[in-house]
Amino acid sequence: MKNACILVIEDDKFLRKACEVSLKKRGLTVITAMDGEEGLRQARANGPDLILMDILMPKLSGLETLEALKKDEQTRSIPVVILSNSSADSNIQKAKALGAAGYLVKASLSLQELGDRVLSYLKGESASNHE
Amino acid sequence: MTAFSKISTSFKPLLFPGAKESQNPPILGLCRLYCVLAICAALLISACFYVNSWLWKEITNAEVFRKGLYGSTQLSRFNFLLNWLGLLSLAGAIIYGFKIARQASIDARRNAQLLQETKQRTMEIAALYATLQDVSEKHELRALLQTMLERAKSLLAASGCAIFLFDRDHNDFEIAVEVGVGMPIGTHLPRSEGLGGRVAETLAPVIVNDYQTWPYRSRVLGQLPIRAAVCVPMIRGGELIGVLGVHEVGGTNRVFTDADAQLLSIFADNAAGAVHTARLLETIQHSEERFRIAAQCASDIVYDWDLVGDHVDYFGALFQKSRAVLPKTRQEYWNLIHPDDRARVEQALHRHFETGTPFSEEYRIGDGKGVYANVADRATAIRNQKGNPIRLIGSVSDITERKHAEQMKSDFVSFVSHQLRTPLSGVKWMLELAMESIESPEELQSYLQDARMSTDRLIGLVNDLLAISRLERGKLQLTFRDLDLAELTQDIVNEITPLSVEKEQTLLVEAASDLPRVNGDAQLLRQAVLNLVSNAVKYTPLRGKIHIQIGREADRVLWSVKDTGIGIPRADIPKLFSKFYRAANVLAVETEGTGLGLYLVRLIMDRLGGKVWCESKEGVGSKFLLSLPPAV
Repeated sequence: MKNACILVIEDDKFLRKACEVSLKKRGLTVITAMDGEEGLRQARANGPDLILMDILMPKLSGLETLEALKKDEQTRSIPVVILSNSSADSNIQKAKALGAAGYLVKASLSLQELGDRVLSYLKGESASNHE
Repeated sequence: MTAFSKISTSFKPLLFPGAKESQNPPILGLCRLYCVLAICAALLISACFYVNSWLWKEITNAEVFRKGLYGSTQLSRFNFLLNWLGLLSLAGAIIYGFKIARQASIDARRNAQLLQETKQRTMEIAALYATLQDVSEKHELRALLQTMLERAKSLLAASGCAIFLFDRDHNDFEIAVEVGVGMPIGTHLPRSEGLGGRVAETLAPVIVNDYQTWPYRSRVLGQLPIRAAVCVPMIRGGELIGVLGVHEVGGTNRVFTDADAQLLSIFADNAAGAVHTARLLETIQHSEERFRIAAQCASDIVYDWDLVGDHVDYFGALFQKSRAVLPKTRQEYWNLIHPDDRARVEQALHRHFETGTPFSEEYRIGDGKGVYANVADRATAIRNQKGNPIRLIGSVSDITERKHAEQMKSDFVSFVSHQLRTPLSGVKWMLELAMESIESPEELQSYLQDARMSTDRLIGLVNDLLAISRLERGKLQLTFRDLDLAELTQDIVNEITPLSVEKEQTLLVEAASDLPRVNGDAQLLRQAVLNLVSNAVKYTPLRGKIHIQIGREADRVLWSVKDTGIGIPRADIPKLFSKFYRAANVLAVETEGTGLGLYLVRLIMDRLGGKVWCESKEGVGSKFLLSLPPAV
């Protein structure tokens, strides 16, 4: 959906920049955060339609942030897609268990593919909203 | 008690050889006859005397005398008969009297002889009993055999004795102990040969009184001066344990009899049990010893859990070290296992008991105070005849260190792969964006720049990791030579200058003029200096000041870099040089650091024989110092 707002929580500045630029090119609004704490703040303040989040982050880790997001009334319904560089099965399982909507591995995705996946997650959400 | 009754039943034939039971001795018959005759004689003669005296009264009557009728009266004829009968009886009685006397003397002689024999036998039995007492007290095999040897020898009062033990593994006899003719002890003799062979075959005593000419004599022993020998089997529970032989050397006339063989047999029968037990004991002792040595050498704790009585025994060197902690009952043990692991371990044990699936589990076990160790437990159940497990024997090894190392390695691998993948993804995406913006040179430039910086970061990380890996394993090829620290520092500063200019920082280097050279590997030293200087630039904000000083202090060369950066919180200073450590306040500045930079500096300083330390105040700035020995 156009004009949907995506929150990107990523500690690496190049990756963050790349996501932002690429998603903006697709016509989406992008807000960014450098770590979990800031991400929570942004999520509560701006109510994005989708959150893209890394797992390995300083201070609050991705999984801890995910847990906090799902616990919070305000942010519970926002779909969270994990965008990580770890393909460890244990991480995938944990994320799914905590309620992540999806799990993507950065190193195996091109920006184009990333954009496609984000859009399809958004469509899927709107589809389920219309049910 | 059973031994004693066994002995007494064995001995009866010895005491009364050839005797028939409850037979009336002949002398009794003779006595009866004698009594009858004597009584008859007495009666007849006294009757005769009576009649005679009556007749004499008649004779004195003159008429009878005058008529010369003395001899013709019936009475006198009767008297005559009585007389003769009486005399006959008397004669008979006298004859039988003599017969009785003779028989009595024969009997007496025989009795004396029997008494003598009985005394002899009793002494032998007493000796045998004493011997068996002796033997049953000895449990150690060699001592037992030695005792048997001496006793058997003295029992038969012979000059030599030997015991061969049957070796089931080789199916032959081993000469165990011997005295008298010098048999080669320890030699093995074939089962079928010689005296031992005959005994083994027949399982009965064998006597050979002329050994040298006996056709079946053993090849090995035939050379020895054995003249006569008696050999008996030692049987226990129907199995041949060995043979016991007594021999006489040449030059004696001693001949072995059945009685000797019998005596020896009794001895051997009773001693066989003792020998069997002693051999078993020896085997058990060997096993025990081997087990103990193995348990000592193993670094595990070996346990033996009696499932029926619920009692655990522990062995092994590790056990002796941690004696205090180990639980004695299985319930105590279960309680110490980490609650998360308990169910799994219990299930695995149950599976092993039911189906025999090997039990091998890793779990955490605590010391009762909340500290857990990782252990690996492997065990096997021993079952009774019904197949039910009655004992569990296993070993427990402490794998905490291994687990810890495994965990650290796994953590490191995932950390490194993440750290490597991040800049790689950066490069990939930046290039993708660059490709899309070919039309727009400004954008293109920016993306390519970002890609390049990502690449630099990646290279830096890889270098650090390689250096660390090699330094840690001591595999680095180093070239030690005399270096000019000031020159080296200047090189680094030149490299870093663009960055500090960008941040509008002041970078100053001050080197003493009489600075001695230091001995070290150039590459390593460069890396250390680079890490410290780039840290200073990184963590100092815009328009900050960085001051490098190099001089000598006492007998060392001192190098320091001081900045006006964010400083380091006091709590972080002790761990600053640890692997992967990042202080709490760096994340505000830079999230990409690996925590390896300072760790690498420390490793390098250790290797070069120097030191690194830090003085800092949060919010004010930090000073990092290196000290190195001067080159000689």
